Amino acid sequence: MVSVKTPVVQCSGLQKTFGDRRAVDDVGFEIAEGETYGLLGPNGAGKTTTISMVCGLLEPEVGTTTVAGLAMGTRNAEAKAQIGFVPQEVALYPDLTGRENLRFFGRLQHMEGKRLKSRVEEVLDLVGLVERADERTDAYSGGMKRRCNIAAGLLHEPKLLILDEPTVGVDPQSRHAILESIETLGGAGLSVLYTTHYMEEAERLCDRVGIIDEGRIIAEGTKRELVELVGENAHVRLTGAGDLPGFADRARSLAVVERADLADGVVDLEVSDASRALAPIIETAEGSALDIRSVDVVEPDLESVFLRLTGKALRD
Amino acid sequence: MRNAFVIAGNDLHRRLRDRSVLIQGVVGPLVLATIISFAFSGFDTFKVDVALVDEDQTVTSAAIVDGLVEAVNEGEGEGLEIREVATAAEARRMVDDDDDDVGGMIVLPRGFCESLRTEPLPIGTVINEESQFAGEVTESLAGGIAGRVDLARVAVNTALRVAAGEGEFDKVADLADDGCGPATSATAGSGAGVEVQPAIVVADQSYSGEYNAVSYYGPGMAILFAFFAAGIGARSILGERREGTLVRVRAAPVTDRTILFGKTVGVATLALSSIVIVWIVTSLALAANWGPIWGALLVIVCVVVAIAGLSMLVTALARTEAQADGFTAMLALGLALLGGSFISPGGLPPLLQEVSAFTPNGMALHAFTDLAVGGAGLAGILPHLAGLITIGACSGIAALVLLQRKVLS
Ligand SMILES: Nc1ncnc2c1ncn2[C@@H]1O[C@H](COP(=O)(O)OP(=O)(O)O)[C@@H](O)[C@H]1O
Ligand SMILES: [Mg+2]
Repeated sequence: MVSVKTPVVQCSGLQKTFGDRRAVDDVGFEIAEGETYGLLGPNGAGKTTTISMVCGLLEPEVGTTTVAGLAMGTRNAEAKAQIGFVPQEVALYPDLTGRENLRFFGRLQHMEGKRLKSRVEEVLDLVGLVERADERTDAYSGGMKRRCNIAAGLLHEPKLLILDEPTVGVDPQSRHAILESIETLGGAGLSVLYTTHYMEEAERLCDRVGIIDEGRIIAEGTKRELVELVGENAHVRLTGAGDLPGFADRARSLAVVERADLADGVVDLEVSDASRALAPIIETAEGSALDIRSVDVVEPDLESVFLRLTGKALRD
Repeated sequence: MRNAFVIAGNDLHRRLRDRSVLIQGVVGPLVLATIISFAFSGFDTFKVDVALVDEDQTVTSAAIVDGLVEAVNEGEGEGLEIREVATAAEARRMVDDDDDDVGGMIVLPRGFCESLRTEPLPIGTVINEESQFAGEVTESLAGGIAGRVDLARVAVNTALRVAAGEGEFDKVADLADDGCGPATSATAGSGAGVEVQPAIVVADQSYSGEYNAVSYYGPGMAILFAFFAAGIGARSILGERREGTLVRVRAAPVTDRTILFGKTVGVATLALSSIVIVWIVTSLALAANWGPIWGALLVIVCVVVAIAGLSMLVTALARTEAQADGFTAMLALGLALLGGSFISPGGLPPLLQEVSAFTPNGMALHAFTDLAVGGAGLAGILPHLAGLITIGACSGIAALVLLQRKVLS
């Protein structure tokens, strides 16, 4: 799945310090055309600061960014025009309607006339706000504001869409709608830079993920690559009635099982490949006259990768 | 650059939706100007009398007096009257006597006409400190005469120089000297049969003579409230930072300079609209005299530059919108007090009168009075205009530097 297309974004060596705190330290990554790249990290990791430099809001102290081959900087209008930016905080005028907000932001992107009009209607439709487009945005629900916020970043058909934690504080329904529309856009070939501290979102949306902590990207790759990188395995958790310690001993000798623990009536088996391990494990359980109550397969995830790499949880 | 106007347009669109700018920028000044106007017309018609003394008694000085009297007293306007008085002593007595309604006096000194060929003698003025506007009106009238005299000097000296080139210096010099002959012989016609033209013609339409309380308080209130209108516009940059929209605007293909320029254009448009509306309404409905249209427009534009610059500076110095509001109110009221929007500077202690001349309100009100009463031309109001532009430019540049550092980035 390695892309050979020219990268839409190339940044390297980005650094930014606030006071004596280095918010971003030697960050670099590339995003290929059509790729969705995720920056996954806890609050305060430096995600917003990084993308502020990528989209020309902030001048890095050190490091460079090019977008679609154009050097990025706070004054580089042409490079900025390649990007659709969706800020972390909802950035809409509360006293204007959704449509008026979009028209203004469209004009700032040098759109006018028919194109502006039709694009405004298209993005309203995309985020499902056509019916409420003529209401002031301060009358919108949190989810609607978020969707309108995203619509504003899509107006001018940018080469790269940058979303900064677009689902924070959103109800589950809107969150679902937002993730779905981003999947659709990614599927349609738009390049996306997505930041989040929710590992499910990174796993679901992103082709590749950069794990960021304390201003540094500490690991990068596809989910599989990351899991392999830290050697994280799947777990099969089994409960039942009968000789649990005996079963654990027998399971431990299976080739597919790396480790077996028994705690609180749960046998936890670490396996390298859950799909191949399941059959022999169940066979062994039956052979041990165990009355199985439940079997859970816990695949390794980015949460556990993060835990392995940093020794702390993504969310506090 | 186009985006600066997109930003200014969006600001104005939002301000129009928000009634407060209409109230502060238009309704406020009109209501106050009207109240003041009725307050003055309630007990007495507004009136300023100015005594005019011709000590020179030459053809030219007599022409100045006649021109002023004709233009001011016999014009359609009311409120301002010139009284010809024989001696300075008598005029002085009238000025000092509070019952006499004479608010100020102007003296054309002996030798005035002769002095025009070289260094003109100053035109003397005395005012009654008790009388509203007397100072403004008298100084403006005297300033108007001095301005015209200067123009006439240039004309006469040019004529002499040309005549000298053509060998006719003596003839023209005689003519010019005749202008400084005794006033009585001029009316009889000179012996040479040449009709003597006074070197200076004062009468023209710019002395409408129309002057009333609204003519002073209309612009005064307009400037005061324009600060509030501009303040609402300027603080929107702090509001946009709080609402988060500033981040999105900055991510668009615009530079910070474009954003600040757009904001400033929006602020200036608010102040301009506010003053222009008050100008039109007070002129049409309350017979205010802001001077000729070209002059009033020029002063309005220049005072708007000053107001816009100061408003941006106030915003740049404030940390929150509420703080910006407070600063704006202090600045607007302070400058209005010092600059004569409430009481004409003649009523202030001498030190504050000096300060008054450096406030945008003071400069603009002087310029308006010079135009309306003094019949000043462009040259006459130029120093005021330059002062206003200087205030606007200095405060504006300081504001942009501060905003760039504090609000953006
Ligand atoms: N404008 C700023 N001034 C000072 N410190 C800042 C500023 N912006 C961010 N920081 C600090 O930099 C670090 C990274 O912040 P940020 O990029 O917002 O993280 P994230 O988006 O991953 O939550 C944090 O410690 C934050 O407090
Ligand atoms: Mg953030």
